[in-house]
Amino acid sequence: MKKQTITTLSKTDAQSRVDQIRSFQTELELIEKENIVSFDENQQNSIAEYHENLITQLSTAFDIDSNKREKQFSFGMKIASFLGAVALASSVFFFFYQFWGGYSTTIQVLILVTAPFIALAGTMFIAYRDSTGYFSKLLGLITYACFTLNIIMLGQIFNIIPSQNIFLVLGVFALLLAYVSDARLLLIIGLIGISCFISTQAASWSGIYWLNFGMRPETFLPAAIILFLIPTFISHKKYSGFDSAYRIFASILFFISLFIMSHWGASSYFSLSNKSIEGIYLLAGFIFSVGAIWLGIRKSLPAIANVGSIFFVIFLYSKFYDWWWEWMPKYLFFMIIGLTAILALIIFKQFRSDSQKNIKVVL
Amino acid sequence: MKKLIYILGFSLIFIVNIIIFSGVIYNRSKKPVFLIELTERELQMPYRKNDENSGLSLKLKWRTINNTKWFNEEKLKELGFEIKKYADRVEYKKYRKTSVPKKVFIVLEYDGKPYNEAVKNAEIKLEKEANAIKAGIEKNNNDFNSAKKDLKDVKEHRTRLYAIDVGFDADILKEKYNESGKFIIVPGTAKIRYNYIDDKKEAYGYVSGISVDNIHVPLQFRKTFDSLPKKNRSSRYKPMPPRYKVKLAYGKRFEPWIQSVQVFE
Repeated sequence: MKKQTITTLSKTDAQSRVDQIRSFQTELELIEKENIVSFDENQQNSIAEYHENLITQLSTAFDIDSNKREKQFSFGMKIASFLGAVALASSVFFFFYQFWGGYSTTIQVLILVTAPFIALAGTMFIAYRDSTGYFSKLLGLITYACFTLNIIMLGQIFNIIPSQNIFLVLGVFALLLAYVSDARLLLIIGLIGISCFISTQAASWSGIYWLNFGMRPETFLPAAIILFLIPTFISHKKYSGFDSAYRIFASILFFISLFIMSHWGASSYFSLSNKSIEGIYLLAGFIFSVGAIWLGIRKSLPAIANVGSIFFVIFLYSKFYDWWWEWMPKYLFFMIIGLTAILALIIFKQFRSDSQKNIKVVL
Repeated sequence: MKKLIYILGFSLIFIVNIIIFSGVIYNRSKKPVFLIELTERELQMPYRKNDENSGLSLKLKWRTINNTKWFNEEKLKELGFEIKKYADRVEYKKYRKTSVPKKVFIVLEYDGKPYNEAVKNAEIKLEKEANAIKAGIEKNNNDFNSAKKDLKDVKEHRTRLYAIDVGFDADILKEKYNESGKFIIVPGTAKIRYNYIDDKKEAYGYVSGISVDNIHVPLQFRKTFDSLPKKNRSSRYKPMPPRYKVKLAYGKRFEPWIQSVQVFE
């Protein structure tokens, strides 16, 4: 593989490639044993040499797992890194809260302002030396915690009137950290910040005090749509799972907003009766969840199809609950839920068979 | 590319802190816009000490009275609230939207007419209960005792800070309420409420919150608060005179800070 092609891959792509190679080697061994196919010595050596060179290049470039044992250790490192990051970030907050009351304002300000600078410098230093990426992700989250503490505590010390710009600032900072340390957790934190900012802005423009943006869930819909479209226009191939994270987060935000509106018509901007609004949003929920399933299948985005399926079921079952729970005997209610699930199974099985038939026709 | 992102990160931290400190310096530059002395009744310490948080903030306590009189439909229209005239309760339930607050400036008056009215109302209620017992209408003293406690609470424990007006323009409010040491104007929020009593439909406003109602105590004043005897602390069930008074300043951005603290002997 040429060097320029490696640089366009993300770590996830590289790992998938190595996993693919290992699976191929295992399968080849099996079919050779069963005499389905047989390569001569030259062919076997060519294939083996090509694969070993490729694995070496990818391992050097991305520090990926080249076998099952390494994978198991990496999984452990991922969990340890996540827990360590969350715990250390939390400890930053609690540590400051525990001792800040005993310091003068000057000392408090000095600590709060210098902490994010030092943490970011530390993240930068570790990133250049840590090929695994786990330590830089850990420090990235600590840096984010320090910056958040910086802003929040200065607000408390000087009794500053809260502003919605805090969402924008923290969202952008989390995104910057996410992109330097290839960390999906920081990406999600950043997306939460950005969508809250868009929502508070939409609320402010309609005359609502920004802190109460949650009382008009419709303000989250434009944010969700914008975030969903970002991977369409900006490719994140070099970053592990970023495209997927954008779409999944945006879909979940979108469907949660629709779900809330389908039960809380009184929070809508529209002047229709509350029941009508709830009905419209319920219908929209069903249409868009089916749309998400279709889009997920069509564009090979299984995560989106899954989100669509989950919310279709949530919308359906919540309506069953609204219609029947009060008066229907409970055994009958759960029987209907079960039968609906079986019906869904049959439908999905039919989709699956149709898709398998299509593959056979193509072959 | 990563280098650029790091530079952006450092710049963001720097710029945000510059903005924060610029705002603080601007707020506290020159003379405070408002300077008021409030006692423990209006600026309360937390009831319980939080072992996980060594900082101390005083809670600004305020009340409202007679909202339907001063925060009436005329004031609501002035603030741009949409007052819907629902035909009846059914229509009200069908079309009513969850009330959302608007950002406003709130005028708080210290020890003024509204507080005196609250004291008078409590006195009238006590007299009414006393008369009821004398007339034999009431069989026991429960309501009378409750009214007596309420009067003591209003006179000795409850805040004397009352919201009396709201508006969008702080300058207009400053001009109208310009008596020093008596009024403060703070940013906050207001909402609309509907009263549906029998066939009478009434919309009125209420102050739903103040933007900054927890005021940080800097280290130089901590010893004063830490040394206060707990047994003399006033509560609703055991009203006692306030233990301290605080000189509170409000700056150009309507953000407060403590200027001085004095313990009562």
